[in-house]
Amino acid sequence: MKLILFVFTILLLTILSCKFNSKNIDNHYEGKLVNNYNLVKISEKFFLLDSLTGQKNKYSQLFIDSIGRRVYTVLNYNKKTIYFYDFETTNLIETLKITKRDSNLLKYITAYFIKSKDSIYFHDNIKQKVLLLNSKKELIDSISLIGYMNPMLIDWTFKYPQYNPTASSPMLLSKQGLIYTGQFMWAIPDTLINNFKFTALVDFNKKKVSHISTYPDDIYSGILWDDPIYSTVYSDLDFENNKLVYSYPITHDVYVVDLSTNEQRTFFAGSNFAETITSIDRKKKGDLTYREKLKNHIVKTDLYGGIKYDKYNKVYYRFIRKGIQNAKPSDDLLDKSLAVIMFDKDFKYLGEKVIGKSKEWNWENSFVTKEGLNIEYIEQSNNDETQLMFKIFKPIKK
Amino acid sequence: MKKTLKTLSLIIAFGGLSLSAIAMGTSGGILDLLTMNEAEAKCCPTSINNGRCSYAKNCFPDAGGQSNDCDSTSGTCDEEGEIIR
Repeated sequence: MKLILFVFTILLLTILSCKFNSKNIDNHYEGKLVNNYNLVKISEKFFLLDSLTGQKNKYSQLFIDSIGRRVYTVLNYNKKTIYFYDFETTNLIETLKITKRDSNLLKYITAYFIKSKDSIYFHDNIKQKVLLLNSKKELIDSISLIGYMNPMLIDWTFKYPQYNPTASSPMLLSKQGLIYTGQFMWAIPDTLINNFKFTALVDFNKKKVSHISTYPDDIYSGILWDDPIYSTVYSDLDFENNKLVYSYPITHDVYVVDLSTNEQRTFFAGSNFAETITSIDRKKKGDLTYREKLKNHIVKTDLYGGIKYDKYNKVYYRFIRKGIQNAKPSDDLLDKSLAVIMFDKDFKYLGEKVIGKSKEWNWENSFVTKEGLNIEYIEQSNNDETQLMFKIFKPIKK
Repeated sequence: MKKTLKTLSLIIAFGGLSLSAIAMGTSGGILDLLTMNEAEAKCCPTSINNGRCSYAKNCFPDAGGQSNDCDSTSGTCDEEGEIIR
Protein backbone atom coordinates (compact mmCIF):
# COMPACT_ATOMS: atom_id res chain seq x y z
CA MET A 1 0.00 0.00 0.00
CA LYS A 2 2.79 2.41 0.96
CA LEU A 3 4.64 1.52 -2.24
CA ILE A 4 1.58 2.20 -4.39
CA LEU A 5 1.13 5.58 -2.74
CA PHE A 6 4.82 6.36 -3.29
CA VAL A 7 4.59 5.51 -7.02
CA PHE A 8 1.40 7.51 -7.43
CA THR A 9 3.04 10.54 -5.81
CA ILE A 10 6.04 10.32 -8.14
CA LEU A 11 3.75 10.21 -11.17
CA LEU A 12 1.69 13.14 -9.94
CA LEU A 13 4.76 15.28 -9.24
CA THR A 14 6.19 14.35 -12.63
CA ILE A 15 3.13 15.55 -14.47
CA LEU A 16 2.77 18.75 -12.50
CA SER A 17 6.45 19.72 -12.64
CA CYS A 18 6.77 19.82 -16.45
CA LYS A 19 5.15 22.64 -18.38
CA PHE A 20 5.71 25.12 -21.16
CA ASN A 21 6.04 28.65 -19.92
CA SER A 22 3.95 31.40 -21.41
CA LYS A 23 5.59 34.49 -22.84
CA ASN A 24 4.55 38.07 -23.49
CA ILE A 25 6.67 40.08 -25.90
CA ASP A 26 5.73 43.70 -25.32
CA ASN A 27 6.02 46.48 -27.86
CA HIS A 28 7.45 49.34 -25.80
CA TYR A 29 7.03 51.77 -28.68
CA GLU A 30 3.39 51.02 -29.46
CA GLY A 31 1.63 54.27 -30.36
CA LYS A 32 4.74 56.38 -29.79
CA LEU A 33 6.33 56.42 -33.25
CA VAL A 34 5.91 59.23 -35.76
CA ASN A 35 5.15 58.32 -39.35
CA ASN A 36 7.16 60.71 -41.54
CA TYR A 37 7.41 58.60 -44.68
CA ASN A 38 4.96 57.19 -47.13
CA LEU A 39 5.47 54.06 -49.19
CA VAL A 40 4.34 55.05 -52.66
CA LYS A 41 3.63 52.72 -55.54
CA ILE A 42 5.55 54.06 -58.52
CA SER A 43 5.17 51.36 -61.16
CA GLU A 44 4.17 47.81 -62.03
CA LYS A 45 5.90 45.00 -63.89
CA PHE A 46 4.47 41.95 -65.63
CA PHE A 47 6.27 38.75 -66.62
CA LEU A 48 4.43 36.36 -68.91
CA LEU A 49 4.10 32.84 -67.53
CA ASP A 50 3.89 29.63 -69.52
CA SER A 51 1.03 27.17 -69.07
CA LEU A 52 3.05 25.15 -66.56
CA THR A 53 3.86 28.00 -64.20
CA GLY A 54 1.55 29.87 -61.89
CA GLN A 55 1.74 32.81 -59.54
CA LYS A 56 2.97 32.54 -55.96
CA ASN A 57 6.24 30.82 -56.71
CA LYS A 58 8.28 30.56 -53.55
CA TYR A 59 11.78 31.20 -54.80
CA SER A 60 13.33 33.77 -57.10
CA GLN A 61 16.54 35.73 -57.58
CA LEU A 62 17.59 38.82 -59.48
CA PHE A 63 21.18 38.78 -60.73
CA ILE A 64 23.42 40.72 -63.12
CA ASP A 65 24.62 38.67 -66.08
CA SER A 66 27.95 38.84 -67.91
CA ILE A 67 26.78 41.69 -70.18
CA GLY A 68 25.48 43.77 -67.26
CA ARG A 69 21.87 42.91 -67.87
CA ARG A 70 19.50 42.51 -64.92
CA VAL A 71 17.97 39.04 -65.09
CA TYR A 72 15.01 38.02 -62.96
CA THR A 73 14.79 34.29 -62.31
CA VAL A 74 11.99 32.31 -60.77
CA LEU A 75 11.83 28.66 -59.74
CA ASN A 76 8.96 26.40 -60.66
CA TYR A 77 9.91 23.54 -58.36
CA ASN A 78 7.05 21.30 -59.45
CA LYS A 79 8.61 21.26 -62.91
CA LYS A 80 12.23 21.64 -61.73
CA THR A 81 12.66 24.60 -64.03
CA ILE A 82 14.22 28.03 -63.56
CA TYR A 83 12.87 30.76 -65.82
CA PHE A 84 15.21 33.61 -66.82
CA TYR A 85 13.60 36.95 -67.71
CA ASP A 86 15.15 40.21 -68.91
CA PHE A 87 14.13 42.53 -66.06
CA GLU A 88 14.01 45.64 -68.32
CA THR A 89 11.93 44.22 -71.13
CA THR A 90 10.31 41.38 -69.09
CA ASN A 91 10.92 39.05 -72.04
CA LEU A 92 11.68 35.41 -71.33
CA ILE A 93 15.33 34.77 -72.21
CA GLU A 94 15.63 31.04 -71.52
CA THR A 95 14.83 28.24 -69.10
CA LEU A 96 16.99 25.80 -67.22
CA LYS A 97 15.22 22.52 -66.68
CA ILE A 98 16.42 19.68 -64.49
CA THR A 99 15.40 16.69 -66.55
CA LYS A 100 14.88 13.09 -65.48
CA ARG A 101 18.42 12.41 -66.63
CA ASP A 102 19.69 15.07 -64.22
CA SER A 103 17.47 13.99 -61.37
CA ASN A 104 20.08 11.62 -59.96
CA LEU A 105 22.14 14.72 -59.44
CA LEU A 106 19.42 17.00 -58.16
CA LYS A 107 16.52 15.26 -56.48
CA TYR A 108 14.54 18.13 -54.98
CA ILE A 109 15.55 21.73 -55.63
CA THR A 110 14.03 24.36 -53.40
CA ALA A 111 16.68 27.10 -53.62
CA TYR A 112 19.55 28.28 -55.73
CA PHE A 113 22.04 31.12 -56.06
CA ILE A 114 23.20 32.23 -59.49
CA LYS A 115 26.66 33.68 -59.23
CA SER A 116 26.96 33.59 -63.01
CA LYS A 117 25.44 31.42 -65.74
CA ASP A 118 28.39 29.08 -65.29
CA SER A 119 28.26 28.96 -61.48
CA ILE A 120 24.90 28.07 -60.04
CA TYR A 121 24.56 26.78 -56.48
CA PHE A 122 21.57 24.51 -55.89
CA HIS A 123 20.16 23.30 -52.62
CA ASP A 124 18.86 19.75 -52.80
CA ASN A 125 16.38 19.60 -49.92
CA ILE A 126 16.29 15.80 -49.77
CA LYS A 127 20.01 15.07 -50.03
CA GLN A 128 20.71 18.18 -47.89
CA LYS A 129 23.57 19.18 -50.12
CA VAL A 130 24.63 22.29 -51.95
CA LEU A 131 25.71 21.46 -55.48
CA LEU A 132 27.63 23.74 -57.81
CA LEU A 133 26.74 23.28 -61.47
CA ASN A 134 27.78 25.01 -64.67
CA SER A 135 25.50 26.14 -67.48
CA LYS A 136 25.60 22.64 -69.04
CA LYS A 137 24.31 21.21 -65.75
CA GLU A 138 27.61 19.47 -65.16
CA LEU A 139 28.54 18.99 -61.53
CA ILE A 140 31.56 21.03 -60.49
CA ASP A 141 31.40 20.38 -56.78
CA SER A 142 29.08 19.45 -53.93
CA ILE A 143 29.05 19.66 -50.15
CA SER A 144 26.81 18.29 -47.43
CA LEU A 145 24.94 20.75 -45.23
CA ILE A 146 24.52 18.14 -42.51
CA GLY A 147 28.07 16.89 -41.98
CA TYR A 148 27.45 13.90 -44.29
CA MET A 149 24.94 12.44 -41.85
CA ASN A 150 22.32 10.27 -43.52
CA PRO A 151 19.50 12.61 -44.61
CA MET A 152 16.99 9.75 -44.44
CA LEU A 153 17.59 9.36 -40.71
CA ILE A 154 16.14 12.55 -39.34
CA ASP A 155 18.17 12.81 -36.16
CA TRP A 156 20.37 15.27 -38.06
CA THR A 157 17.63 17.84 -37.46
CA PHE A 158 18.75 18.17 -33.85
CA LYS A 159 22.20 19.23 -34.99
CA TYR A 160 21.71 21.10 -38.29
CA PRO A 161 19.09 23.56 -39.54
CA GLN A 162 16.25 22.58 -41.84
CA TYR A 163 15.45 24.81 -44.77
CA ASN A 164 12.18 26.19 -46.13
CA PRO A 165 13.64 28.75 -48.52
CA THR A 166 11.83 31.62 -50.16
CA ALA A 167 13.01 34.84 -51.72
CA SER A 168 12.75 36.23 -48.16
CA SER A 169 14.92 33.50 -46.67
CA PRO A 170 17.27 32.84 -49.60
CA MET A 171 20.78 31.72 -50.34
CA LEU A 172 23.02 34.78 -50.32
CA LEU A 173 26.60 35.50 -51.30
CA SER A 174 28.67 37.55 -48.88
CA LYS A 175 32.33 38.44 -48.72
CA GLN A 176 32.72 35.30 -46.58
CA GLY A 177 31.09 33.10 -49.20
CA LEU A 178 27.69 31.46 -49.57
CA ILE A 179 25.31 32.11 -46.66
CA TYR A 180 22.17 30.07 -46.13
CA THR A 181 19.83 30.67 -43.21
CA GLY A 182 17.59 27.82 -42.10
CA GLN A 183 15.66 27.17 -38.92
CA PHE A 184 14.59 24.72 -36.27
CA MET A 185 11.11 23.84 -37.46
CA TRP A 186 9.31 23.09 -34.20
CA ALA A 187 9.45 24.22 -30.55
CA ILE A 188 13.18 24.30 -29.84
CA PRO A 189 14.24 22.24 -26.80
CA ASP A 190 15.92 24.04 -23.90
CA THR A 191 18.93 21.77 -24.31
CA LEU A 192 19.52 23.13 -27.83
CA ILE A 193 18.62 26.81 -27.49
CA ASN A 194 22.18 28.06 -26.97
CA ASN A 195 23.87 25.53 -29.25
CA PHE A 196 21.64 25.19 -32.29
CA LYS A 197 23.01 27.47 -35.02
CA PHE A 198 20.79 28.08 -37.99
CA THR A 199 22.92 29.92 -40.57
CA ALA A 200 25.31 27.90 -42.70
CA LEU A 201 28.46 29.48 -44.13
CA VAL A 202 29.39 27.34 -47.11
CA ASP A 203 33.02 27.52 -48.24
CA PHE A 204 33.66 25.44 -51.34
CA ASN A 205 37.34 26.44 -51.42
CA LYS A 206 37.97 24.95 -48.01
CA LYS A 207 35.29 22.27 -48.50
CA LYS A 208 33.79 23.33 -45.21
CA VAL A 209 30.40 24.27 -43.79
CA SER A 210 30.35 26.15 -40.51
CA HIS A 211 27.38 27.60 -38.65
CA ILE A 212 26.61 30.83 -36.83
CA SER A 213 23.71 32.43 -34.95
CA THR A 214 21.35 31.00 -32.35
CA TYR A 215 17.76 31.85 -31.51
CA PRO A 216 17.31 34.58 -28.85
CA ASP A 217 16.79 32.49 -25.74
CA ASP A 218 14.71 35.15 -23.98
CA ILE A 219 12.11 34.74 -26.75
CA TYR A 220 12.26 31.08 -27.76
CA SER A 221 13.47 29.08 -24.77
CA GLY A 222 10.85 26.94 -23.04
CA ILE A 223 7.96 28.47 -25.00
CA LEU A 224 5.43 26.58 -27.12
CA TRP A 225 6.30 28.12 -30.50
CA ASP A 226 5.50 24.81 -32.09
CA ASP A 227 5.11 25.56 -35.77
CA PRO A 228 7.50 26.76 -38.49
CA ILE A 229 5.43 29.93 -38.83
CA TYR A 230 6.88 31.06 -35.49
CA SER A 231 10.44 29.81 -35.93
CA THR A 232 11.16 31.00 -39.49
CA VAL A 233 14.25 33.17 -39.68
CA TYR A 234 13.98 35.77 -42.43
CA SER A 235 17.25 37.37 -43.46
CA ASP A 236 18.88 39.83 -45.78
CA LEU A 237 22.40 41.00 -46.44
CA ASP A 238 23.92 44.47 -46.46
CA PHE A 239 26.79 43.38 -48.71
CA GLU A 240 28.71 46.65 -48.58
CA ASN A 241 28.87 46.70 -44.78
CA ASN A 242 29.06 42.91 -44.48
CA LYS A 243 26.05 42.67 -42.17
CA LEU A 244 23.36 40.03 -42.03
CA VAL A 245 20.01 41.02 -40.53
CA TYR A 246 17.51 38.57 -39.04
CA SER A 247 13.78 39.10 -38.64
CA TYR A 248 11.83 36.63 -36.48
CA PRO A 249 8.02 36.52 -36.72
CA ILE A 250 7.48 36.92 -32.99
CA THR A 251 9.84 39.72 -31.95
CA HIS A 252 9.54 43.45 -32.46
CA ASP A 253 13.31 43.57 -32.67
CA VAL A 254 15.71 42.56 -35.42
CA TYR A 255 19.18 41.14 -34.94
CA VAL A 256 22.16 42.28 -36.99
CA VAL A 257 25.30 40.17 -37.30
CA ASP A 258 28.60 41.72 -38.33
CA LEU A 259 29.97 38.89 -40.48
CA SER A 260 33.55 40.12 -40.05
CA THR A 261 33.47 39.77 -36.25
CA ASN A 262 30.41 37.57 -35.70
CA GLU A 263 29.15 40.12 -33.18
CA GLN A 264 25.40 40.59 -32.98
CA ARG A 265 23.39 43.67 -32.07
CA THR A 266 19.68 44.03 -31.39
CA PHE A 267 17.59 46.89 -32.74
CA PHE A 268 13.95 47.76 -32.27
CA ALA A 269 12.29 47.40 -35.68
CA GLY A 270 8.66 47.00 -34.81
CA SER A 271 5.38 48.45 -35.97
CA ASN A 272 3.80 51.47 -34.29
CA PHE A 273 0.60 49.44 -34.14
CA ALA A 274 1.87 46.02 -33.10
CA GLU A 275 0.54 44.83 -29.77
CA THR A 276 2.02 42.47 -27.22
CA ILE A 277 2.78 39.11 -28.80
CA THR A 278 1.66 36.34 -26.49
CA SER A 279 2.62 32.70 -26.84
CA ILE A 280 0.02 30.04 -27.55
CA ASP A 281 -1.54 28.44 -24.50
CA ARG A 282 -1.20 24.86 -23.58
CA LYS A 283 -4.33 22.93 -24.46
CA LYS A 284 -6.87 22.80 -21.65
CA LYS A 285 -9.93 20.61 -21.22
CA GLY A 286 -12.77 21.73 -23.48
CA ASP A 287 -10.41 23.57 -25.83
CA LEU A 288 -10.50 23.30 -29.58
CA THR A 289 -8.23 20.85 -31.31
CA TYR A 290 -4.60 21.91 -31.44
CA ARG A 291 -4.80 22.85 -35.12
CA GLU A 292 -7.82 25.08 -34.52
CA LYS A 293 -6.08 26.64 -31.55
CA LEU A 294 -3.02 27.24 -33.69
CA LYS A 295 -5.13 28.85 -36.41
CA ASN A 296 -6.85 31.18 -33.91
CA HIS A 297 -3.51 32.20 -32.47
CA ILE A 298 -1.96 32.87 -35.88
CA VAL A 299 -4.96 34.95 -36.98
CA LYS A 300 -5.07 37.08 -33.82
CA THR A 301 -1.34 37.65 -33.38
CA ASP A 302 0.78 40.34 -35.04
CA LEU A 303 3.39 38.32 -36.91
CA TYR A 304 6.40 39.91 -38.55
CA GLY A 305 7.67 38.71 -41.90
CA GLY A 306 10.67 39.23 -44.14
CA ILE A 307 13.11 42.10 -44.11
CA LYS A 308 14.79 43.67 -47.12
CA TYR A 309 17.70 46.10 -47.27
CA ASP A 310 17.49 48.82 -49.93
CA LYS A 311 21.08 49.88 -50.59
CA TYR A 312 19.92 52.58 -53.02
CA ASN A 313 17.76 54.46 -50.54
CA LYS A 314 19.61 53.19 -47.42
CA VAL A 315 16.34 51.89 -46.04
CA TYR A 316 15.15 48.64 -44.46
CA TYR A 317 11.66 47.32 -45.22
CA ARG A 318 10.07 44.89 -42.80
CA PHE A 319 6.74 43.14 -43.36
CA ILE A 320 4.11 42.55 -40.70
CA ARG A 321 0.89 40.54 -40.87
CA LYS A 322 -1.45 42.39 -38.56
CA GLY A 323 -3.52 40.39 -36.08
CA ILE A 324 -7.31 40.38 -36.45
CA GLN A 325 -8.71 41.02 -32.99
CA ASN A 326 -12.38 40.27 -33.62
CA ALA A 327 -11.66 37.42 -35.97
CA LYS A 328 -14.51 35.38 -37.45
CA PRO A 329 -14.19 31.58 -37.39
CA SER A 330 -13.70 31.67 -41.15
CA ASP A 331 -10.78 34.11 -40.97
CA ASP A 332 -7.40 32.72 -41.87
CA LEU A 333 -3.80 33.85 -42.31
CA LEU A 334 -4.56 35.33 -45.72
CA ASP A 335 -7.28 37.60 -44.29
CA LYS A 336 -4.75 39.50 -42.20
CA SER A 337 -3.75 42.97 -43.34
CA LEU A 338 -0.20 43.30 -44.61
CA ALA A 339 1.93 46.33 -43.78
CA VAL A 340 5.45 47.42 -44.67
CA ILE A 341 7.47 49.23 -41.99
CA MET A 342 10.39 51.42 -43.05
CA PHE A 343 13.60 52.16 -41.13
CA ASP A 344 16.76 53.98 -42.03
CA LYS A 345 20.11 52.15 -42.14
CA ASP A 346 20.47 52.60 -38.35
CA PHE A 347 16.94 51.32 -37.69
CA LYS A 348 15.44 54.67 -36.92
CA TYR A 349 11.69 54.39 -37.59
CA LEU A 350 10.58 56.24 -40.73
CA GLY A 351 6.99 55.12 -41.16
CA GLU A 352 4.75 52.29 -42.26
CA LYS A 353 1.88 51.58 -44.61
CA VAL A 354 -0.80 48.94 -44.91
CA ILE A 355 -0.72 47.77 -48.53
CA GLY A 356 -3.73 45.46 -48.46
CA LYS A 357 -4.74 41.98 -47.32
CA SER A 358 -2.21 39.16 -47.23
CA LYS A 359 -4.22 37.28 -49.86
CA GLU A 360 -3.38 40.02 -52.37
CA TRP A 361 0.36 39.66 -51.96
CA ASN A 362 3.01 36.99 -52.20
CA TRP A 363 5.17 39.16 -49.94
CA GLU A 364 7.75 36.40 -49.51
CA ASN A 365 8.55 36.98 -53.18
CA SER A 366 9.90 40.49 -52.80
CA PHE A 367 13.24 42.01 -53.72
CA VAL A 368 14.91 45.41 -54.04
CA THR A 369 16.07 47.12 -57.22
CA LYS A 370 17.18 50.68 -57.92
CA GLU A 371 13.52 51.43 -58.64
CA GLY A 372 12.47 50.38 -55.14
CA LEU A 373 10.82 47.50 -53.31
CA ASN A 374 9.26 44.97 -55.71
CA ILE A 375 6.48 42.86 -54.20
CA GLU A 376 4.56 40.17 -56.07
CA TYR A 377 0.90 41.10 -56.36
CA ILE A 378 -1.70 38.35 -56.73
CA GLU A 379 -4.25 39.48 -59.25
CA GLN A 380 -7.54 38.04 -58.03
CA SER A 381 -8.96 38.35 -61.55
CA ASN A 382 -6.05 36.49 -63.13
CA ASN A 383 -7.59 33.04 -62.76
CA ASP A 384 -5.57 31.63 -65.65
CA GLU A 385 -2.37 32.87 -64.00
CA THR A 386 -0.96 34.10 -67.28
CA GLN A 387 1.41 36.63 -65.78
CA LEU A 388 3.52 37.36 -62.74
CA MET A 389 2.84 40.88 -61.49
CA PHE A 390 4.99 43.07 -59.29
CA LYS A 391 4.17 46.41 -57.75
CA ILE A 392 7.17 48.61 -57.08
CA PHE A 393 7.23 50.96 -54.09
CA LYS A 394 9.50 53.77 -53.05
CA PRO A 395 9.80 55.52 -49.66
CA ILE A 396 8.89 59.21 -49.98
CA LYS A 397 9.24 61.72 -47.17
CA LYS A 398 5.91 63.41 -46.33
CA MET B 1 -0.15 -11.02 -5.38
CA LYS B 2 2.01 -8.65 -3.35
CA LYS B 3 5.02 -9.43 -5.51
CA THR B 4 3.02 -8.72 -8.71
CA LEU B 5 1.75 -5.47 -7.33
CA LYS B 6 5.24 -4.45 -6.34
CA THR B 7 6.62 -5.21 -9.81
CA LEU B 8 3.80 -3.34 -11.50
CA SER B 9 4.35 -0.32 -9.29
CA LEU B 10 8.05 -0.23 -10.12
CA ILE B 11 7.30 -0.41 -13.84
CA ILE B 12 4.81 2.46 -13.58
CA ALA B 13 7.29 4.57 -11.59
CA PHE B 14 10.07 3.95 -14.09
CA GLY B 15 7.76 4.79 -16.97
CA GLY B 16 6.69 8.01 -15.34
CA LEU B 17 10.23 9.14 -14.67
CA SER B 18 11.27 8.29 -18.25
CA LEU B 19 8.38 10.26 -19.66
CA SER B 20 9.32 13.15 -17.44
CA ALA B 21 12.91 13.04 -18.67
CA ILE B 22 11.80 13.03 -22.30
CA ALA B 23 9.39 15.89 -21.68
CA MET B 24 12.05 17.93 -19.93
CA GLY B 25 14.54 17.24 -22.71
CA THR B 26 12.22 18.50 -25.40
CA SER B 27 11.29 21.56 -23.42
CA GLY B 28 7.77 20.28 -23.34
CA GLY B 29 5.25 19.39 -20.78
CA ILE B 30 3.78 15.94 -20.73
CA LEU B 31 0.29 17.29 -21.24
CA ASP B 32 1.46 19.19 -24.31
CA LEU B 33 3.12 16.11 -25.78
CA LEU B 34 -0.15 14.24 -25.38
CA THR B 35 -2.29 16.98 -26.83
CA MET B 36 -0.11 17.52 -29.89
CA ASN B 37 -1.43 14.22 -31.20
CA GLU B 38 -4.70 15.96 -31.97
CA ALA B 39 -3.25 17.92 -34.90
CA GLU B 40 -5.47 17.48 -37.91
CA ALA B 41 -2.97 16.92 -40.64
CA LYS B 42 -3.88 16.41 -44.22
CA CYS B 43 -0.63 16.16 -46.06
CA CYS B 44 0.98 13.29 -47.89
CA PRO B 45 -0.01 10.31 -45.74
CA THR B 46 2.38 7.51 -46.55
CA SER B 47 3.63 4.39 -44.95
CA ILE B 48 6.78 6.19 -43.84
CA ASN B 49 5.61 8.78 -41.34
CA ASN B 50 8.61 10.57 -39.93
CA GLY B 51 7.50 14.14 -40.44
CA ARG B 52 4.80 16.45 -39.19
CA CYS B 53 2.50 18.69 -41.16
CA SER B 54 2.99 22.36 -40.49
CA TYR B 55 0.14 24.86 -40.39
CA ALA B 56 1.00 25.72 -43.99
CA LYS B 57 0.78 22.00 -44.86
CA ASN B 58 4.44 21.41 -45.50
CA CYS B 59 5.96 18.21 -44.18
CA PHE B 60 9.07 18.65 -42.07
CA PRO B 61 11.06 16.14 -40.04
CA ASP B 62 10.11 16.12 -36.39
CA ALA B 63 12.57 13.79 -34.72
CA GLY B 64 11.22 14.40 -31.24
CA GLY B 65 7.58 14.55 -32.27
CA GLN B 66 4.62 12.45 -31.26
CA SER B 67 2.25 13.08 -34.16
CA ASN B 68 4.26 12.26 -37.25
CA ASP B 69 1.89 11.88 -40.14
CA CYS B 70 3.77 12.45 -43.37
CA ASP B 71 6.95 11.41 -45.14
CA SER B 72 9.40 14.29 -44.83
CA THR B 73 11.90 12.75 -47.24
CA SER B 74 9.57 12.62 -50.20
CA GLY B 75 9.06 16.32 -50.79
CA THR B 76 6.26 18.65 -49.87
CA CYS B 77 2.56 18.54 -50.50
CA ASP B 78 0.32 20.60 -52.67
CA GLU B 79 -3.14 21.62 -51.58
CA GLU B 80 -4.65 18.37 -52.79
CA GLY B 81 -2.24 16.34 -50.70
CA GLU B 82 -0.24 15.24 -53.71
CA ILE B 83 3.47 14.83 -53.18
CA ILE B 84 5.57 17.36 -55.02
CA ARG B 85 9.15 16.30 -55.68
